[in-house]
Amino acid sequence: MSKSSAPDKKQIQYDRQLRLWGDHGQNALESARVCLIGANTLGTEILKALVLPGLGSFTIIDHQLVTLADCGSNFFVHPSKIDESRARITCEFLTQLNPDVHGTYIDKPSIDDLLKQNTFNFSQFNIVITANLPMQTLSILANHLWTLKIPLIIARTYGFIGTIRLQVFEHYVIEAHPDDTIPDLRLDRPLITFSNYCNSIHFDCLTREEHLHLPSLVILFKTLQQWQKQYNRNDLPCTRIEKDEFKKILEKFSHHSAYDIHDHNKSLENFDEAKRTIPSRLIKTNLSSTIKELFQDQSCLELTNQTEIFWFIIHALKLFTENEGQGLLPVRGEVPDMITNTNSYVKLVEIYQEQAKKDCEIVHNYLCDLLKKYNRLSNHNLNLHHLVQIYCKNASFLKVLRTTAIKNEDDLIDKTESDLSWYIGLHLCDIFYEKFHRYPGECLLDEKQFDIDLDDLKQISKQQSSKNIMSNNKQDILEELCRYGASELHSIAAFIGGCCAQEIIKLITHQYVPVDNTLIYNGIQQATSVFKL
Amino acid sequence: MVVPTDDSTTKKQWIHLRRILERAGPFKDPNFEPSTELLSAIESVKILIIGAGGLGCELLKDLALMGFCQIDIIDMDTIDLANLNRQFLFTKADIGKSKAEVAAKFIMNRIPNCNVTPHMNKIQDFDASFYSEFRIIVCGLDSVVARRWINSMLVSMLQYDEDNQLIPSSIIPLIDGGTEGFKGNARVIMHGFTSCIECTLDLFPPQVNFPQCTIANNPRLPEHCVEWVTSILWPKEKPFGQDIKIDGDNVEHIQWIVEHATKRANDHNITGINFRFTQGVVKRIIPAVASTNAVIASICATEVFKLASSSVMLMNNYTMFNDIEGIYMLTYPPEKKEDCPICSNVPIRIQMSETSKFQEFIDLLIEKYHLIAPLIYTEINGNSKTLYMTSTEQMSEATRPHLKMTLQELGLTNGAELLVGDPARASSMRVILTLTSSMETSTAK
Repeated sequence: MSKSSAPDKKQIQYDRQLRLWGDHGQNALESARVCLIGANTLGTEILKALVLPGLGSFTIIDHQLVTLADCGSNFFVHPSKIDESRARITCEFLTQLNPDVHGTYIDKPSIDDLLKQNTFNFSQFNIVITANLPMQTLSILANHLWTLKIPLIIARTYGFIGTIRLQVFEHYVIEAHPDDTIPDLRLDRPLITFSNYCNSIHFDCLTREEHLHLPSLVILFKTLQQWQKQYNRNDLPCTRIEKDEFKKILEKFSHHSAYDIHDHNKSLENFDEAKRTIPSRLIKTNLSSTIKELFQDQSCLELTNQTEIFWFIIHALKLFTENEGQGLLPVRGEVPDMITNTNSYVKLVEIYQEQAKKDCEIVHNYLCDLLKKYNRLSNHNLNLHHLVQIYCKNASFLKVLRTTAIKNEDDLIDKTESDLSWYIGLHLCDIFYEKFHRYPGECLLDEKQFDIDLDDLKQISKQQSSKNIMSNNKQDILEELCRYGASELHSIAAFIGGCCAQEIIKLITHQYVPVDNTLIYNGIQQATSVFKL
Repeated sequence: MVVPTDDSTTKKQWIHLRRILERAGPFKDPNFEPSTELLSAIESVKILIIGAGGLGCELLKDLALMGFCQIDIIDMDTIDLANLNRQFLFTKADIGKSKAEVAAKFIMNRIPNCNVTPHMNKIQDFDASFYSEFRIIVCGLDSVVARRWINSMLVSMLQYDEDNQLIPSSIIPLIDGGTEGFKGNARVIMHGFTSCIECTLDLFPPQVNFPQCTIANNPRLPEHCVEWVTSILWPKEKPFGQDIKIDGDNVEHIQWIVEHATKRANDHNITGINFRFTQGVVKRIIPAVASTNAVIASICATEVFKLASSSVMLMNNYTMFNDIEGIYMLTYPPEKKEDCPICSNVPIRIQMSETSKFQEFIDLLIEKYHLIAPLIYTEINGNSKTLYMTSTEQMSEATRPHLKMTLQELGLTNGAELLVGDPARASSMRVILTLTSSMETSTAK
């Protein structure tokens, strides 16, 4: 495809999201298969935000029939479909949103029976999603998926409260796309080619034009060199006094014999930029804490024939860092825009990109040696170079996500953080459900039943807790949860649905950083908290 | 589609909402009275949704499934292929049709008894008599100017009593949402009590603009090369005809720009230009996904439900959302500006020397009040006079001589009241001019 050839229909349709995760991310999404258990409001809202961007395929497991109440909450049913298979109807309506997506459903046996029979192949899925699945079934499923190492996302809505819990054995974040990055310019550990380039520039020999267009990065480096020479240092200015000394030298360099009074009154944009960017340029270059952790990880240190390629590349990066990198990662290669002329900027970009290319080549060679050593080198090598490039560029932000398995969360019962109290409250409602086969407050018409349910709920709480007195906050939460009676409010399901879908896209594309590992959404205050349970 | 339902069917259908509406709880709004009547009250509340795009589609679905049955929706656009990754009420067969009309049809089909009235219009086509029909207005707009317009429209509809106190029943709550990639925000505006759009203009990301000398002489990035073609080469070469402006959706236009931007880039050793990149720069495309729109619209819809029912406390009152790294949400109340030119109900006073040029006055107005193309008029000696107008070539010509004149020469006196209109405002702003004589100005210093 030539540079100017027009995009095809799919590229136009997905244009707005391709700008976020690229063609390679889109390919990963289109090859992915997910399983949704529970085609309720929440479940269908999750799938909607996966189907629209072009998910490969989904399978819905739900044995329920469409009810009238579904029509007052779920967008993917219709009053004319009451008493029909909810799995089938929602599957139809969802695939209508995007005919490129392949949807299937299982409406018998129920998920409980499927798990009992233990013949269903969950390994065909990249990810399994549960939407408001009762606790007992969930425990069995979660255990099963943990053994299979298949990521599980547990989504819930309950009145104005929503939760998302990730159960992931091991996930690699390859392209984190951090929002705010400090560019990798290394003034304290300058590239040799950069040093040489700066050394070829002498302030006294510059013409007025050259001085006006000197890149701020060069200005800062030369000022740094001068400061180091003058004060007999080989590091960066850090104290207030040292920074003032630095700025004085910078100020001195901003003068030029050819400047007239007119020029003096105008401020020099490039020198202003130099001053302004001091905080982000004059910083110590070092290894990010995340990459250091990865280097120390067992999986990196103990490579085997079965190890994921991720760890092989981490190990290759480690070797680079310990040798040619002299303690630093491969150069990222990006140079932020700065006020200067074309040639100077292009020259700087060349310098950094050349170094990045060289570093990447070395990492690639280490990788090939390692793969050879462990008999993993194959004909898939053609893509290795590109893969190594991505890892090198994102080295500082590579991450591994390992969550705990879902366990009985009774030990959280006495935590007092507000939002965690809601999560615990939901857990108590689950215990109530196991006991009475309905949720507290589910029955609307009976006021007396409400009071009885609330009492029972409080009893359950007391039984689980080691404390004698229930806080006012806790009492309020239990009363409010009773009020909800497990109501599925559409707007709350839409919130959790959107969030879940994006977490799933993160897991599929290995781009952006997933939640680690529990999100609690409070729709009353419009607030979220994240807990690592 | 109207499906005949009896009361008991409706009651069963909306059981999820009714548990909230018919029971009190510790987190309710102080005004809340649980009642079996609330459901029908919600059904008859008139809501206006502005925008039937990424947020609009989500809002319409959410509100319909939160019990609202009287919804109007405004959108002047037609459906494009690039909308379909998130504007889910539209299919490929709907490309070219009116967004508002197709959206309304889909919802009324899917959720019978929900009544949606579409308007294929600009918001400026309607006046206060239209907007005053609605109890709550929700916006899913993609332009700051449009937000400022509706904001000022609602403020112009506020009423004050004899003591100049705001009459609360004249407030129409404005709920506003916006998204950009994986980021979004939502807010509840109660004019007179919370900050308004105008109070918080600095919360909006600034427009991307490149300095002219970079474009003309020192290109460094591929975007500079594209800008050079669109702002310098195209006007010079007029490649598709005398008065043909750049159409970002026209494939041939973009291809021409790509070709010439690539040439400029190659001449300067710059790389990175392709079709997608170029179209992104030309149209100032903002990335968008279904998930963020779903989240932000849901927050707005939840707050509409709370406002209509008082069932739970409102959020206070501006939320920022971001799911790039984990999921992050922050809700806080931005400060209401005491001297906000829109919502503070005090006239604007500007002090200038009578010998200042009118151009200076205009520059000050534009900068201070973020105006786009002001229209300035006043009354001098009982006659209405247009001092400045740029909307037509004729009026531009007619008012140009005023720019070089001093305020005194224009006939303005101390205490003169000027009316300033602007695309970002639904009604003119009153500016009271304090003119100092040149003697006063110099001694005052």
